Amino acid sequence: MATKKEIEEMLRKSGYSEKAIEYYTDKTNLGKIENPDVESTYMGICGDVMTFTLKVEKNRIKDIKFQATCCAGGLSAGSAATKLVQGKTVDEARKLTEEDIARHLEGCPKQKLHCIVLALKSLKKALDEYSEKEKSSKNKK
Amino acid sequence: MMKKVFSNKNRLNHTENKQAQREIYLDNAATTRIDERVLEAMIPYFRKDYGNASSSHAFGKQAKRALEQSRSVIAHAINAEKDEIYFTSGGTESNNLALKGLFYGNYPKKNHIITTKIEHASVINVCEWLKTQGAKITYLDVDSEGFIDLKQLEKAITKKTIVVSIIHANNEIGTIQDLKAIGEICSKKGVLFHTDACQSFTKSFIDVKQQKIDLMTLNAHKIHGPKGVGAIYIKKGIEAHVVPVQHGGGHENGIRSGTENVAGVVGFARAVEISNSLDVQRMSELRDKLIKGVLKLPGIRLNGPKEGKKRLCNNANFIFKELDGEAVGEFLQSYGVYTSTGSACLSHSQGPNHVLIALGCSLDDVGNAIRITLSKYTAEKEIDFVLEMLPKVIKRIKEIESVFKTKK
Repeated sequence: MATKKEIEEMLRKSGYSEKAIEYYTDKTNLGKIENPDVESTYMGICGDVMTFTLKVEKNRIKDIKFQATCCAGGLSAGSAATKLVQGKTVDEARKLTEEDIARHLEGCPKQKLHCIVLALKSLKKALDEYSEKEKSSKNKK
Repeated sequence: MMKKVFSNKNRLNHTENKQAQREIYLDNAATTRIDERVLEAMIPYFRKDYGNASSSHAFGKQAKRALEQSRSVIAHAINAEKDEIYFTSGGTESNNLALKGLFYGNYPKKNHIITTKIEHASVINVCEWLKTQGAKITYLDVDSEGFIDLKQLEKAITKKTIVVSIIHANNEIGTIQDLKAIGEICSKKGVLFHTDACQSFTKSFIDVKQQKIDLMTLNAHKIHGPKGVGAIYIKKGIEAHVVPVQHGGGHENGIRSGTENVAGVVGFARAVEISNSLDVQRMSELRDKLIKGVLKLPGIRLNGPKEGKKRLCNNANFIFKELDGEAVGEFLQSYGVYTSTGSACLSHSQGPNHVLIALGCSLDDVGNAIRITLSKYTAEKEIDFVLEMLPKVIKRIKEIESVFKTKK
């Protein structure tokens, strides 16, 4: 098994930024929220799968976590996405772009650009599903 | 959770463009849409004529009749005899049966198998497993367009060689090997010749007699037939040296036991009957339009043969130099366009694409590759749409990239 230091060095060499490495090794917001308001899964064309769970209060994202079967690229992009929308309203979160995540991450290997796309698509799918759920529960009332 | 992953919602989520209301399926090397006429032909064999072809009553006889008629259709399509066709569950099983069957039918007297570095996993992984059983495997190189070197093949054949197994048309890069030239070498040297023709069947010329083919793998779902059915052609006399992989009630002349998938086989034969050279011609033209259009964009290279005749009529494979191919695929998907990528990602258990590696592509290039495969259902306006969207996708990726100075 490679040590944490060795892994970090490897990621650095492949073009990951310090921020991305930190997210990857700290597993920032990685996990699953109990009884979430929405849970949504998306599979990217690369075959990697990302699941977001969100807790939303008064249309504001109170808590957000994600799980993924993917590489360091996907994991760091997922963490970045959660960091960027935490505390924002659902509508604000929906405005998040790939560029926002890229800017926040400060860098990633060229081959891993699709991980950012994957993270954003997964997040937006979760937001859409939340809004749909809200709409249908309002209609019921 | 899995259900959610594979729900339709996953497919057209977050379409960034209203035009993406339609879905454009361009992954026909993976599988194809079943032809309605095929489905029609199959249904009676579920509803009415559901007999077991081995039963001796009327139900059984009806099933048997359908099975044998279908066998004739497949045989006719490759210029084989009816009793040289054995139905299986598909390409993977046929490849397993050909290689394992011949190995156990010849071992220990002979133990050598020659194949290529660009075979489908159901050949390569069988060969790798056969190594553990005492087999020696030679993997032939391919040139930058995916063609084998006939001289290298001839030199590789030894007294211990059982079979030469070479894919007819490659599923990734569309390279069509010269079956006749290979068949002649094998026949001259007295070794058997097996070819995996899953991608080329009904798309490229096949004549087992003219091309001196001893065994051939065929399947239905790549030609608008049903999944779960295929066939293996075994030249008369050779079946005696093919040990079955699956034992049981002795179906398919003892070569492949298991109640015959009559509806599937009927669908397979119907798909073959429907196939025609006009569709092939049309696909070739659209393929050429696509290739020409894509190559006009900067930094893109074509993988596989440049000459149209030597390339599968429905295959195009590109390397987007300096761009993440998966991102191209992901954005195309946002526009409702479905393609396949070279992928080196964790979830793709097969790892980086071995075919592209065999061509001499770098690992980076493999990650930048996109395969676009057409079918007879592909419309010209769909190709036009792809050609219109690609520059937008590339621009979009460059925009994201420009945010950080990539260190690589």
